[in-house]
Amino acid sequence: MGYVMNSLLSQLLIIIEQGLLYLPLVLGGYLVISLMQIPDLSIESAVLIGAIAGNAGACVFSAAGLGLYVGIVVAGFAGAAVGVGAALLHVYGRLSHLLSSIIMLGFCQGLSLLFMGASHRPVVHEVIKLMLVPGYPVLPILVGCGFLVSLLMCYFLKTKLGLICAFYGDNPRFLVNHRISSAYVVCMGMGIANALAGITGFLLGQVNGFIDVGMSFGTPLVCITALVLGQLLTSVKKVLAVVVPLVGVFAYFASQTILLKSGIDLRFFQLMQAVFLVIVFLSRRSRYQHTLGV
Amino acid sequence: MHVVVRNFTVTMEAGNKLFSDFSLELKGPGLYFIIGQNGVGKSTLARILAGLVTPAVDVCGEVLIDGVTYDLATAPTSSYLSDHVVYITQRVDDMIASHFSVRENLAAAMFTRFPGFSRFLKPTLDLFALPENIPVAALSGGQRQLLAIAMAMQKQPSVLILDEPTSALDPQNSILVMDAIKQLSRHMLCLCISHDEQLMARYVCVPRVNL
Repeated sequence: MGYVMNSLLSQLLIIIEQGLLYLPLVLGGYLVISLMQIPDLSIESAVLIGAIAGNAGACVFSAAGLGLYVGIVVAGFAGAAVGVGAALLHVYGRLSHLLSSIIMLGFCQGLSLLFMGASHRPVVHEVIKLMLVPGYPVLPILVGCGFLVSLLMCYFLKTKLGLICAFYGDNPRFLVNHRISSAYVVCMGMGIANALAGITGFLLGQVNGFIDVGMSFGTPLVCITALVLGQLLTSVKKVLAVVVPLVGVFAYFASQTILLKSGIDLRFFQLMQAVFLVIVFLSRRSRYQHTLGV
Repeated sequence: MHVVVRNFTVTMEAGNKLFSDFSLELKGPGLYFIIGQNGVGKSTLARILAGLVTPAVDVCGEVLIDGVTYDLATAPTSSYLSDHVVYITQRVDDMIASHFSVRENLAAAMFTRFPGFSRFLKPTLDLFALPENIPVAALSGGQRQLLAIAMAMQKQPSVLILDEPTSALDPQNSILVMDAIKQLSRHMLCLCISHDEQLMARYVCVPRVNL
């Protein structure tokens, strides 16, 4: 009995750890995909760029004891730069959101290889380990980081810029008719969302102990699946509801753990996600239109 | 509130002239109607007066608002025009976000104006008899039009231009909206574009501009 309880507790802590790791990314996805209705693939490259830049910053400042803070800030700025770059391509290059984010994806992939010099690099300075919970050294920092980004997102959505970002997704003509600069709103929204993705990249690098150019593959799908799960489980009707990504990200990793424990081969997990999304969207299309991001 | 349009000429991309040396003088506060058949250029005139970009047309002429002169060809770049002249489009759903509440729409409309919000909300809601927390999708056509006007009023404009404000409304809602506009016209210059002669018969005491 004790063994079963210990095993359950251990699985629960792993789900919480994984959920907190991806929470900034899913919050960013919630802002840009659900609220702004932008099919932003650049969050994938923001994760990778955030991992490289953040860990480089952490490496430089770890001797001064500032590695964690510098790492998070640098990863955030690097991710934001990716988002703003994609936004500028859309605004001034007059490219569609999808095309601009695909171009940014290719650009960042090349840039990552250039900076890393190889497709795989170990993280030299691990700055997020605190021995507060035995066996789970990264959990305290992830809890603090997740709590902070969730609070900041709640606050942001209460500001006028947050509201206008959501209005952009509801009705882009609103901004034109009220003479609000679409360029500013798109740049800010995509910048903030990708900054959060960059933070997840930094944390992923730290937790895994390495950075790989393929580490961010499929992250937009993780975002969308988590958001749909959150919407299904919470059934909230309000457009601005941070509870959706919060519930969604933990539900995503809980379902992943359940599938793993059921003996299902996780190599096919992305395929299962895609089938799940198709079923949900086709069966309840109008209801999940907001989560679709299209 | 004094609006003068001088030598207003609009040439369409195909080369035909929509307006040629058109001049107009309006003194406020008051309610004016611009009436005319479809396609004569009512909305184009209104959009250019409001400093909105109108693609595929060549514009020349000038507009004087409260004694300040603006070249109509460069009007879209004028922050004065965007602050003092507000244009409410014919497609009122383009001006509101239907998945959000009345309160959220009004807050968003104040984006560039006020750091605070709540103290300005109640008088607006009372003036237009709008419910605060109801989603806009649940409002009637007349209430949506009133909301668009309420949102435009957050800019505290000198001139309010309304493009066919009653075209999509039933007679009852049309009167509700027109009464609200008439009330506003006591304090500002309201310019109403319409081709509904029947509705205007209720407001015959106000001046008209025939195009």
